[in-house]
Amino acid sequence: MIRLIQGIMRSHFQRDIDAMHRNRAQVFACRLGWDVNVVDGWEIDKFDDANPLYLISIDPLTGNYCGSTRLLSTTGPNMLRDVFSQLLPDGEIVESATIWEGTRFAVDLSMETERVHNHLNRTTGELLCGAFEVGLMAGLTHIVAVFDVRMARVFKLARCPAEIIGTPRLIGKTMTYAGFFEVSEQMLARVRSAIGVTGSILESATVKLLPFAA
Amino acid sequence: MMRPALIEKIEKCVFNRANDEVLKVIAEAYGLTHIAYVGVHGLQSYKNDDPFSFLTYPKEWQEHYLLQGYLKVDPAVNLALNSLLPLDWSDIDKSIPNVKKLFGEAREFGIGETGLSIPIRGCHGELSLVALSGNFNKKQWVDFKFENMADLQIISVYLHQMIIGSFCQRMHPPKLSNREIECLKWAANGKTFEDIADIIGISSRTVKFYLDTARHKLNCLSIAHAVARATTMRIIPPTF
Repeated sequence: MIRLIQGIMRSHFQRDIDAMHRNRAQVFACRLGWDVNVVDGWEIDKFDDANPLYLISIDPLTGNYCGSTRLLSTTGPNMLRDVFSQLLPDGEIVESATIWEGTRFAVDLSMETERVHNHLNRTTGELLCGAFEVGLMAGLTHIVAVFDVRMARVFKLARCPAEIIGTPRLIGKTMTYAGFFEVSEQMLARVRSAIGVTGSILESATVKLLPFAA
Repeated sequence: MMRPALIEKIEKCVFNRANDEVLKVIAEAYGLTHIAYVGVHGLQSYKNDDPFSFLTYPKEWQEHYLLQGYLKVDPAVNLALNSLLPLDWSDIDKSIPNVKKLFGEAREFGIGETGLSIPIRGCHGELSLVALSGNFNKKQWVDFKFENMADLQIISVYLHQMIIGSFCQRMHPPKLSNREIECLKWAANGKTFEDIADIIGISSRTVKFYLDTARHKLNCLSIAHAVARATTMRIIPPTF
């Protein structure tokens, strides 16, 4: 199940947000060896202050955090433009009203999530489903992402291979790519079938938002 | 995909610097009652004559809204500015008395039964939004959003860039990448995505992707629109 948390609402979901930042530290600092900022066990950066949309995979039975990713608009501050521009050829900028960026894709491997089709981790598939569902809701045509070689293989397992743009580079310990996914009903259907889901993966309650007290 | 006739109408208004007229043209084309563009960098600095809002709302509603201090209360503005997802007004909790009053009065002023706020993020970190409303029943509204969300996202950013551009007075030519120019050139020559993919040796999906980023850089509403503008701006040769 995917819980949607808008950046502005993060204080209402302290448990999920805490687990996410810890998991991101584990994945990006420890496993991938990226030069990321870790404070008190949290990996957190300036894009977390830019009101992103978090997709958090939750085990519906226990309520535990399983994994997360973060979406940002490419017309505003984003990582591919501001941090990873070396992955694109000179002068190439990805920016469009219908292209969002997905970053900080992290799965908690200590959670015993089931392996579905071809050893694909269910959490990974849920996060991808969630991203495509959100993309369709928001009228997007593409989602761009920065990912390592291992994730590129995982996307293939999930039946949604990324189209690589630009030049892969060594970041930390791993080859890192910039690529995009097409947002379409077909894409969503393929990922759904890879994890054996038929309906929406989104937790319906979190689509509704409370206005903050003025 | 946006109709060429609509794009032509919008461009004509923009050329005549009739910003309010642009909103009316768009509202009419999509069967909406009203459209508002609000660009806010700090709500405190918002004044009646703030140049960063363009609205089709009746004067009486605008005056009432400001007099009641609704800008500080209105979730369709405050919540949407800080959100990434388009905000459907029906998802707003209207149990807070002020919010309930605001939406009740908006209805009396004929703003529309259904509405949507589309947040816009600018490249300098500025925030703005396009609020649109109309009288749709539940089914029509679901269909409307499904069919038009991509158009509305493109229109919102187009309006933002147009308004920011007209205030900054700097219309330096956009920097397109070699790939984008190449794709535009072949598109101008009547080639399909697949043709272009074969010619330059990238996937047709990537061709589509680059044509979309080129469209955005040229602040255009469709790929055909971008091809035409790139030709006028001599970014690609007129006969190729």
